[in-house]
Amino acid sequence: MSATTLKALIGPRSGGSAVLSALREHLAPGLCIVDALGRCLLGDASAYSNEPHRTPVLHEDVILGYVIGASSSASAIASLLTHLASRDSENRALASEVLHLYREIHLIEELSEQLAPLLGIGAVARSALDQAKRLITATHGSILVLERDNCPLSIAASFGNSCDDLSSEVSLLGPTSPIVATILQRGTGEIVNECGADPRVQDVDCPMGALICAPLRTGTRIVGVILLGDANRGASYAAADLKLLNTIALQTASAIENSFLCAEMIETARERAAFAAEFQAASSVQQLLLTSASRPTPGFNVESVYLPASEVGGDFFFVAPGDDGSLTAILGDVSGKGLTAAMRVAMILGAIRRENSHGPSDILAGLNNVLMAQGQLGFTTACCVQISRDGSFMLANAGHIAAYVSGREVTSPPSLPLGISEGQSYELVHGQLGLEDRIVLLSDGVLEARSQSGELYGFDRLAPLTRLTAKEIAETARAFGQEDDISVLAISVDVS
Amino acid sequence: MKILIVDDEPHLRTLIQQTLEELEDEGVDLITATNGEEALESIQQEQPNLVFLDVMMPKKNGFDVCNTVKNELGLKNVHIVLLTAKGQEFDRHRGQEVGADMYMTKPFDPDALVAKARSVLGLPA
Repeated sequence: MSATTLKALIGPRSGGSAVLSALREHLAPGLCIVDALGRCLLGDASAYSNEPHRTPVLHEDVILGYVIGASSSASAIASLLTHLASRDSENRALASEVLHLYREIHLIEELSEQLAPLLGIGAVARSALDQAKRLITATHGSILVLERDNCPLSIAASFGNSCDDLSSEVSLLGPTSPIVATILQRGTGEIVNECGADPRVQDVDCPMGALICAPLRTGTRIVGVILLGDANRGASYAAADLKLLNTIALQTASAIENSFLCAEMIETARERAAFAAEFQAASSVQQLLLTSASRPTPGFNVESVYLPASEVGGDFFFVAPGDDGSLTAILGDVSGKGLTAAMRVAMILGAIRRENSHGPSDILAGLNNVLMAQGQLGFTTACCVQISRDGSFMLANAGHIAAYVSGREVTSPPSLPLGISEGQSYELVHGQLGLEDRIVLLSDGVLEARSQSGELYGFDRLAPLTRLTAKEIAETARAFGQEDDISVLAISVDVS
Repeated sequence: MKILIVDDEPHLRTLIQQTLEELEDEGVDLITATNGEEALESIQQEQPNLVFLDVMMPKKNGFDVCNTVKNELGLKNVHIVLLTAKGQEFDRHRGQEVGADMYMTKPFDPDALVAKARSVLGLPA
């Protein structure tokens, strides 16, 4: 900020020049004003060359100049000029402060524009250091970051030092610097002039004349430190430098925090992609398992449809021929969803394949034992039917939705689902399929299909629906509003 | 060499003056005007090399002053920098049409203002 001068106070740009002219005209038109070097600013100095009365114009103990003339008038004019100098000085100080804020605003804008598109921590740190070096004299500099709480500081960018220099235990600008430790502890910036005399660096080989550093702070969290050093002897930093560095640190900290968040988002996206790939693989495996679960069964017409609600489902079915020409079919639903349910389906299908029991009741009891032996895995409902070539059938139900024969429900005694209680038995129900009859096993995804208005498909609609083909039953439920896995098995005796 | 500062806000004039004050030691006169009409008079009388001209002013706005200077008076060698408040959409097309040499936003960057003045007046940076 340039100093207040008499020339400026008297000049036309000065707000007090009109008052001064009027006062001079009234008091002493011939009065003369000279600056501190004796140069005439107003009036005719030669007329006063021998004038002994020179009244000084003082401002903050500095003589700005003199008013030459009769002492009483000169004194009044000098007082006015002193007052104007004081006001001018205040205005200049205020304007200087505003201009400083203008500079700060533009620095913040410039930094924000520079840092906003940068996503990597290294790029952000290099850009911030370049800006700091441009504005603050420094021969050395570094930005150290804390990637996570309790992680050690790492070097994100530096100049004037090699990374090896910074990593050494004796570097003032490296992660182990005692100055850095203080900054992290206090959370405020610091100027260290005469570095060699600082007690914290007694044990450090200190090549720096002066050091200035600021924390990289976002809210209450410190994400790192920015340091600048000047190796020149006698170098020093001022409060204005620290203010500037703090401004840079604030912008840099936000950009580094954004980099952290961006890195986390990328990591999360990668994990999700990997998980989706695994999910897709699980879905393929499950489809394969279910496809292979229907073996050829000569003498019977078997239709099967499986529509999982998501990539992997919790429904399962299995159809196999018996040694006596009969057919055994089981359709079930495990509790829970997603990969856990899918794993249990895979395990159940494996157990069914190994099951040697004859008759639906024994098959369900065997499955119950297997599930109980696996521990707390939720529960599984299932309906199992064995059909002879003559159309007679035996059916057992473990808490599953009832089977239907040509639109009529096959009622069975109530029983617990599988995997809840040991030693359960499942009562057999006997029946007979006529020549035109089909027995339909289905999952509750059909019954519990829900329309957009929230209406359930329900039992009333279900009974006539089971007269249709398996595909038609499943598609009707899906069109109504699928909420769960839909599985349908429709079996009839082939009389052709 | 002369620089004319035109703004109806006295504080803004003071700020610009104080920013450019360092050029006075290099022989640059800083003169001021408080509105568009005063600016036109000053430009015709003083023939400044550079004018920092506020856009939003009473009596005659910055676009009109610039148009008169560049297109009616034909003073093409008077370099005119329009000053517009940040947040107000500057009409670039209008600025080009009236012959402005460039525009800057307020609050201005003091360093950019001095750099511009030095560049136009051919003073060392």
